Amino acid sequence: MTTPAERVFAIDERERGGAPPGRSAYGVTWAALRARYAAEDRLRDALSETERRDKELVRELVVVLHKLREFVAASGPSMAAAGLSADAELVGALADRLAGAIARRGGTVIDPVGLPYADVADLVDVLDGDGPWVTKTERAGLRWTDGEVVCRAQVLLGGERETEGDE
Amino acid sequence: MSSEDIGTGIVVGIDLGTTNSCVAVSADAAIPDKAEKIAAGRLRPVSGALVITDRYRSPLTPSAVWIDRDGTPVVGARAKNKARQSGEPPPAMFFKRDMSGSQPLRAGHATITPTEASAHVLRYLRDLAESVLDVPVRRAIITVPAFFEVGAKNATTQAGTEAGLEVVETLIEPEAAAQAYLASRAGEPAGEGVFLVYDLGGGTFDASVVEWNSETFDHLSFDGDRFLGGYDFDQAIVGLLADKTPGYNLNIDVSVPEHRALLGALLAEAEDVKIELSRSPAADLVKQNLLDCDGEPMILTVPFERAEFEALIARRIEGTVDSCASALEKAARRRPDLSAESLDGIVLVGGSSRIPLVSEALAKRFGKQPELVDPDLCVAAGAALRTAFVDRRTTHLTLGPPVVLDGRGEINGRVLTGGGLADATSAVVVLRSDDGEYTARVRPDAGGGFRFADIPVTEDETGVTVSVEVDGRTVDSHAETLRAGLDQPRGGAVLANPISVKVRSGLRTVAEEGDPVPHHVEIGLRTVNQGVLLPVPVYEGSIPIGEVVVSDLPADTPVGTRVALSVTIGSDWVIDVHARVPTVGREGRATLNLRSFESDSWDRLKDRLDSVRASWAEKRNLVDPETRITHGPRIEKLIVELEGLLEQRLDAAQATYRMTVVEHLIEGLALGAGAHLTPSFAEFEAKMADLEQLLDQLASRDAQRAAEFRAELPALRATGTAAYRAESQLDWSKAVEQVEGRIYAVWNLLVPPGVLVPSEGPSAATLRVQVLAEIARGRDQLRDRMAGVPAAQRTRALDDLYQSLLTEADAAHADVHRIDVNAPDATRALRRVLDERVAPWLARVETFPPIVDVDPE
Repeated sequence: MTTPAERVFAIDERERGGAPPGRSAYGVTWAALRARYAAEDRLRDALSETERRDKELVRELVVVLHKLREFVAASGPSMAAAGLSADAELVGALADRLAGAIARRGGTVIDPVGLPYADVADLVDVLDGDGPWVTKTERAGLRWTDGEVVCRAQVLLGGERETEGDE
Repeated sequence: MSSEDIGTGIVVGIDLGTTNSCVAVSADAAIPDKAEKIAAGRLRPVSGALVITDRYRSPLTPSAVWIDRDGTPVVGARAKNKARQSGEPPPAMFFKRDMSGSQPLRAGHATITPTEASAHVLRYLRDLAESVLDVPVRRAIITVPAFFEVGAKNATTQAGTEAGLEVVETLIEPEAAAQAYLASRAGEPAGEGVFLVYDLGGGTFDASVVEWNSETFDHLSFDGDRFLGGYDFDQAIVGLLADKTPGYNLNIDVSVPEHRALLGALLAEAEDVKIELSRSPAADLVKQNLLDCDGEPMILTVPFERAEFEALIARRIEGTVDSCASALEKAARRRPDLSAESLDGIVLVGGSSRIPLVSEALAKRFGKQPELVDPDLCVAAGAALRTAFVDRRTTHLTLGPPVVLDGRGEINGRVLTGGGLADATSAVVVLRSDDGEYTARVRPDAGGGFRFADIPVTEDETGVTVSVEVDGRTVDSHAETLRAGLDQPRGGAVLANPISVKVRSGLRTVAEEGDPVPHHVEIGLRTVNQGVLLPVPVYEGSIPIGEVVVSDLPADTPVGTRVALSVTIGSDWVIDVHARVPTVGREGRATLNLRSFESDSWDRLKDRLDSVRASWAEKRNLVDPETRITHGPRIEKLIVELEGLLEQRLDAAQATYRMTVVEHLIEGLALGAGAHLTPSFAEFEAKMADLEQLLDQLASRDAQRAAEFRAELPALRATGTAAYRAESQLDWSKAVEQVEGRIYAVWNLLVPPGVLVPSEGPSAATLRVQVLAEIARGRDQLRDRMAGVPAAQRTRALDDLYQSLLTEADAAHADVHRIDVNAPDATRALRRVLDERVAPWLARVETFPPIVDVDPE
């Protein structure tokens, strides 16, 4: 059971709306700023979680896209010979559509076949091989619009190395 | 390092990992344009810390170093890629495992030490941090495994110095992870708690129990497998793929370049499948454009289910959970009220801990759901959080870590002179809270020291700014945050392997794996026979590291005499072993260095592997079936792993470690079949060795005959092995006699002409030569054995015994010479000397110095 004096004090606290007695305007402003920063942090966390999920999804699409292209390259000629050119073209068209969707979302596929290894060394994991050229992409990589390499491509190297005298 | 060097630097936290490294700063650190850098992805918020990313926004840097032809170091992914480029010298990788040694490592076109390799990585991370933060980075907290001994910690500190970093603390990884975990629970009360930290990375597994007591962390226990990780699971998937695609030849031999490329591609696919199975109950491995080992093109569309993957790795995951239980048991020895139920949390660290089976197995065993807090980055984040405890240094200020107790804070510091400030006492130090509610001023003492006490901490954390003012003008300032419930950490080092002493009945453990150091234990032993020397060998794991010897014991010391053994393992990782035999007043002491482990060279490792293969081939059919079943698969798996490691030539520490393990496994195998036969298999092997030695001597005199005898050796060995395996005493005796017959025949060819009387049987003259030869052999053996006794153990009693054995030999030698070989009873007389004097004398020589065995009381 509260005394009359205590009840008065309790009412007084509610009326101040959260600002304890004796705090300066500077202190109240600072507390408000902190609350704003905290809200910004929460918003940023939520946004980055959404972006993380996007990247994960696009990364999987890149893997699928690469396998589709591998399929078209490997099986296209035999499908054409079997009178299935239209089917092969359909798969190719679907792959292109997928590539467009990835690009629109902000992803760039890393598939450096035929490029000098030195130019793409930061974007790839070498699985095996020797030589200055990327001869095969075993798994395509993904680069995001802000420059982040979400996933490095996995490649094989080959080709003739220039001799010392050539340099 | 002078104050000028320190400048206005920032302190970073670095996870110097075995496979990847990472650098982070506290989220409170004063960083220009912090918000913009976070928005640009160059600083990634993780549990109250900011992890620094490279230009491609990657927070992880592979711990790989490659030195170019012109000496330029390459660090990170580019260096790691060299490992797979067959035309390039390999990079230095996994060098963290070698930090206690100085074994040179191949790093591209140079040879460097593990410390230098670490320095290159640390320098790269420091430069990365400076380029992103736009402030100098001069100091760091670097994380190390809990079992790192002082030598490895010192080497880590040295690496930091070489990289231009003052290492203010080496923080153990489980404490860093637990720190990040606690920070991730912001908002919850940071009271006391005990946490199990489960760390399953790419190549190692550690389980630790750490206690947070509101002020400090205490590392209670440790367990783990230094060579288990995600790579093993990828390999398991490739193995399963081979089973699922019997139409293709996937019998991969990594020495074939095409196979190696195939394995690389399959492992990459396997890793994808593993990641997918961590998110979905099923995943397909879809791949074409690969050739199998026969060169046949493969079209792979192979479905995998999580259940079958889990079945594949279940035993290993269960093993890790057993390790956790073992760590908990050890922790309970220090905190008797601790149990699985009383754990306050299970923290998952390391990329492989994302596998759902890990969480399920842990939850099932311990009844608590584990929590995943950015398992790749939380160790670096924890180290960054710990930087909050480090002295802050600016141009004119050094601030100690703030302490908060019962809502009141305290900050100690020092004003640094120089740069226009000649006298510290001319300055005033001002502390202002960020909310403007509190201001305090103090004047430093003559040495510059000052202290702010009773600072009100009105919320969970309070920001303050400490400024140095001279004549009303601010010359330096530093922002600081006071938080409730944080204090300086402690060490937390633990033993990586158990320490044991060898007694008659086997190894007796005196300190368990995970026991904290320093550690002291006293145990009682009893003698089980008589002698004058009492050696007690000491083992780390299954590897002998030295022995303590009590010498000069009276030869008639009764069996059952008590031996008191004390073992002290210091925080400097030095073991002091003290053995006393109180009833006779004798004692021995030894100082052993723990884990003076160094990796072998690749050539030496190759020789050791050849020897392991030969020794296993010889023993595998001689061990009893039960031992073969229990140890055989492990030995064979280790041999296959070693073949892979020697082929890759990347991880010498792991290869050396596994080689030592397999050698001890093979050495310790009990030969079951034929164990009841006499003589023993070891004696048979000794006779074969004698024969080979005699043939070496014969080769210098009659190479052709020696070669003829030598050609018989494989058949003799095969006959003996077959007889032993068949457990036939009759065949075994015949096989042994065959060897003895060859020894006798070779001996006949070796003795000087004229001494021997060639005949069908051993004549007295021949026998006399043999007896004299035995005495000479025994003398040589005695001298060798005496030479092998350390000077400190050469007591008067031992010397007397040695002299008396020599005197006996001289007397027997003289008596043999006195026997007339032409006398009718010469053979019998010689036989009597041989049986009654020489043979017992030889037996005593073979046990010289007389050793006392002990067993636990």
